[in-house]
Amino acid sequence: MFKRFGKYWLLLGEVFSRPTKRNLFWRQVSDEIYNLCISSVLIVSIISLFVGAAVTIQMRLNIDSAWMPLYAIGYATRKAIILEFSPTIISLILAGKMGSQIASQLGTMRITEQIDAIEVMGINSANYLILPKIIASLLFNPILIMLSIVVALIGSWTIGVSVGGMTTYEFLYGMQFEPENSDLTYALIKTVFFAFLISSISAFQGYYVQGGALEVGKASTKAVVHSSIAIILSNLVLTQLLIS
Amino acid sequence: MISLKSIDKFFGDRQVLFGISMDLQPGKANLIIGRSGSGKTVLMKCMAGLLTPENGEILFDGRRFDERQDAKTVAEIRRDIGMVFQGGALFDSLTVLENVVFPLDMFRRMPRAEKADRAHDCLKRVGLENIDRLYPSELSGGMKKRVAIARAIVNNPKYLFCDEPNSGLDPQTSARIDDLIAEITEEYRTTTVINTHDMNSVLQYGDVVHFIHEGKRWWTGDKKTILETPDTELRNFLEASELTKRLLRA
Repeated sequence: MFKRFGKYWLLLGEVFSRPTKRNLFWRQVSDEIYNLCISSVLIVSIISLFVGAAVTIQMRLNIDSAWMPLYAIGYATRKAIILEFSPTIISLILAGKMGSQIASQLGTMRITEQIDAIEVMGINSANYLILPKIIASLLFNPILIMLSIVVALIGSWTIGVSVGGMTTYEFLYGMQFEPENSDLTYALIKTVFFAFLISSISAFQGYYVQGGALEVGKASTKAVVHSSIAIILSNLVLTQLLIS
Repeated sequence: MISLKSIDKFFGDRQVLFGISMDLQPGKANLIIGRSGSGKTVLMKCMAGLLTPENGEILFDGRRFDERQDAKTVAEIRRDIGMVFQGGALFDSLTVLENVVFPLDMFRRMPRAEKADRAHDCLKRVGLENIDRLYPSELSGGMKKRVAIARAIVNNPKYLFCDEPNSGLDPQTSARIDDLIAEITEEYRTTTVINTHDMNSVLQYGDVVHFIHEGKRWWTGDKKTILETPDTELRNFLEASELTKRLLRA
């Protein structure tokens, strides 16, 4: 385990070196933004819309008291979505989607000798293939999480007004009650950290695949499992560090 | 000339190459033959710098090619190498033209149109035209190999490595690939190293033939002397092919 951990850090050393061709590098980053991130917009939106709605129903049932104003539902939903649901749960979803995509792509390139073909030309393959993926996810995942927050709040409002017995005014009042910018900052810091974990761990799993299609499948599964565990563990540490 | 001096290669505790020494002749087709698992591909990957031998030296025209050499010389040597992999190793996400232009994009400062012209010349040289926009998944095995050859020669390499260029091809396509490699070696004066167990290739253009057996250099000769060899292991290997079996008996 320690050996693999060391290997991961050595790989990161290779990844974060100067790109062979800078103009090509930015072209690759834009390709990766499209392949990894923009293709995730639909799944992020669908999940956020329905989970935002479900969270509101839960809140409505659990805060069903004469002592609690209805706008508290909007307030609590906002907190839950910004602090935990969007940055953490959506990052876990992205670990599944992006993680398996990165690991299987690199794994297939490894077993079909495409990575060797890059190395033979004297190109640092780790830098050429992995750095654009990391940069793309660091740049675009925060945008995905912001989108998730907005869509989840729309889902929450829709269900709150249609079946939750709230008015739009009450919902918006709760949403705007005691606004804290630090919540959003906290969510974005977590997102950037998780984006790095997803892309680097998945790339590590795919880059060192040996064998055939079976091993690529295993690497893809490991990428999702390891990134998810890393996200959950670091979420605990970051929450402790950033909030308390 | 490429010189190998006492190359040992291990994977964990398992030794796969045992003190291999050989000289690969410049401007000629140097064939490395041997059974599957004899260490041919490992040896070629060591020569191409993809694997690092535990012991020994690899010299490209007298320049050492390993981690002890300065980075500039290693980069210079690498730019002189073109390699054709067993499965072609074309980049799936790039079109045929982008695959061939790739080495130029990386290392040559020239206008885009000039790069495309150069790539078209190479594609034409390997007998492929009007397939610029196709992706590797849309090509046949033989076409993939030919695109891989075009990509390998686009940078005018001094050294051309071909790992099992005939594997998985029908006899006719295989013969076309053989002809093409022989012509390119002649035309570009490359030091060509070919891993193969295809006896047609050996008899057609084996200027120099090295037989690798159980990780050791067992025999060296050429396409003429190979049929007269008294060596039992080599004869056993040759008799596995119907063509050489008949020639040996004749």
